[in-house]
Amino acid sequence: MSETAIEMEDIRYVYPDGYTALENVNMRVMRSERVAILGPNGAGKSTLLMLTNGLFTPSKGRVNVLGMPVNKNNLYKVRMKAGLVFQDPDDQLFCPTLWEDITFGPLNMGLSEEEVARRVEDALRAVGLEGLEEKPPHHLSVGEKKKAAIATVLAMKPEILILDEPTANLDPKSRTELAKLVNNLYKERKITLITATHDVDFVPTVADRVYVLNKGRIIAEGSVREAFSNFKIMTEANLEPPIVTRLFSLLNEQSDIDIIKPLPLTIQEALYEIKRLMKTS
Amino acid sequence: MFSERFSTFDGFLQGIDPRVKFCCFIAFILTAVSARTVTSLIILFLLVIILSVASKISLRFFFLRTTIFIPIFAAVIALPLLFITPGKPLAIIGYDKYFVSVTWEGTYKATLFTLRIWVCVASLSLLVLTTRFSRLVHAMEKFKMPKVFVAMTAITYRFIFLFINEAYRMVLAKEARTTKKEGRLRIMRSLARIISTLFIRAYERGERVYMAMTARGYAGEVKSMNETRCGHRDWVFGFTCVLACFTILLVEFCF
Repeated sequence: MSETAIEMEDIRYVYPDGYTALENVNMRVMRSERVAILGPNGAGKSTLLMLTNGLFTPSKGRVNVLGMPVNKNNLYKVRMKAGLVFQDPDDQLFCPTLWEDITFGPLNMGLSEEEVARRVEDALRAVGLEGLEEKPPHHLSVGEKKKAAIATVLAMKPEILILDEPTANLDPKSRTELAKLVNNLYKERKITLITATHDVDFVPTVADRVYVLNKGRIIAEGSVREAFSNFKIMTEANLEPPIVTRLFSLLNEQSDIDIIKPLPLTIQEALYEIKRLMKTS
Repeated sequence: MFSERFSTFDGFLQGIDPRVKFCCFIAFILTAVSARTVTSLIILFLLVIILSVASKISLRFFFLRTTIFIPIFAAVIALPLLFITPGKPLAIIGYDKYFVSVTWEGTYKATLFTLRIWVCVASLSLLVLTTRFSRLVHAMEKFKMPKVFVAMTAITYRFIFLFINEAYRMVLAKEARTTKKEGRLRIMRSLARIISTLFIRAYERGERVYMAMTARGYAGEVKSMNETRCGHRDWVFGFTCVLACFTILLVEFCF
C-alpha cells in the first residue's frame, strides 16, 4: 500500500483559452496528513484540486492518487478514494432533497440499497444533520449547506477529503463548527485532509503542513508555523499571517529582544504566551 | 412551487401515494377535456374543491391560485365564441345596422371552455400543492419517464430558486446605483443586460454542477432508490376517482 496519498510531479495546466493556471507544481501529501494549500484569489488552488480528482487533465506532468496514476482507466477508482468538496455548496447539492444528494455518490459506486441507506445515515450523523434528510437544499442555511456538501462526499467513504475554500461565506460560529467537524473526521476516520483556502486564521486549525501557491507556482512549503513566520513569503503571496501572529510579531519588534518565540498561530497559543509573560513579569 | 408548506400538512391527499394521485388527476384532466356539458365540469370542479378542503388547503388561497391568470386568460380567449357561434340571440350590442349579437350557444361554449381550463388548472394545482416535489419526481421515475427528462425536471426545480434569488440580487444592485428616474428604453436595456448575465451565470453554474456530479462518479446515468408501496387507502382512492370520472363520461355519452 502506497504511503503517499497524492503526488504531483512537474504539473502544468493551461486552460483552453491559453491561460496558464499552474506551472511547475510539485506536491507530495502523505497518508493521514493534514495539508493546506494557501494562496490568494486566482492563485490556481481550485484548478490544482480539480487535478487531484481527475476532473482536469494536466497539460504536462503526472498526478498519482494513492499510488494510482490519474488517467482514464483509473478515473472512477480515484474519485471513490479522493472526495472533493466544492467551494459553492449550491454546485454540489443538485437534488430535490438532501437524502437524494447524499445517495448520489454511493449509488454511482454500485453499492446495495441497504449499504447506501446505512452510509447516508452515517454521513448525516457525522456532520450533525440528522433529521434534515427530506429537506430541499435551498431551505438549508449556508452553514448547513457546507456540512451537507461534506456529507455527500463522506457517504462515499473517501480516504482523502479535499475541501475547496470551506470557510467561504461562513459566519464565525459556523466556521468554528466546521473546523471542529473536519478535525473530528480526521481523527475518527484517519483520512488525509487537504484544504485549499486563503483564510489564514483557519489554516492553523485544520493543517499541519502548508503549500503556498501564488500565480500558479508553489513558492513555499513547510510547517504551518514556518510558513506564517516567513513574512516575506506572505507578502509576496498577497497574504498576511493570522492576526495573533501579527500582533505578537509587533510586540517582538517593539521590545529589544524576541520575547515571544515561536510566534503563536492561534488564540489558544496566544493565551498561553500571555499567561507565561504575566507570570515572568 | 412556492407553496411547499401545504405538502407537509396532515391532510387527506398528502397521505396518498404520489403515483396514485398523478393517475387520478390525469383522469380528472382527461374527463374535463372530454366533457361536453357544464354540469359535468361543475361536478368535477366540486370534487376538486372537496379534495382540497380534505387536504387542509385554505379555500381562499386555492381560489386565488387557480382563478387568477390562466382561467381569466382562457375567458378572454373564449370571448369571440360569444359572438361567432350561430344560435338563439341572448343580447344585441350595437346600434341600428351596426350590431353584433351574443348567442345562448356562444355563451354556453365560452363557459364550457373556461370551466374546462379551470378544472385542469385546479387539478394540477392540487396535485402540486399536496405533493412534495421530490415525490413527484419519484412518481415520474416509477412511470418510466425518460431518465434525462426526470433528471432535468429535478435539477430545474432545485436551481430555479437560486436563479430567482440571483436575478433579484442583480435587480437590487442595479436599483442601488440608479440615481434618477429612468426612461423605458433604459430600463429595457438594463433588464436585457441582467437577463444575458443570468444566462451566462446559469451556463457556468451548469458546468460546475456537472463537474461536482462527475467528481462523485456520475457516468451519464442518474441512479436513485425510492421504495414506495401503494396501501389499501391509495387503491380505494384511485379506484373511486377513476370510477367517478368513468361515471361522468358514461352519463354524458348515454344521455
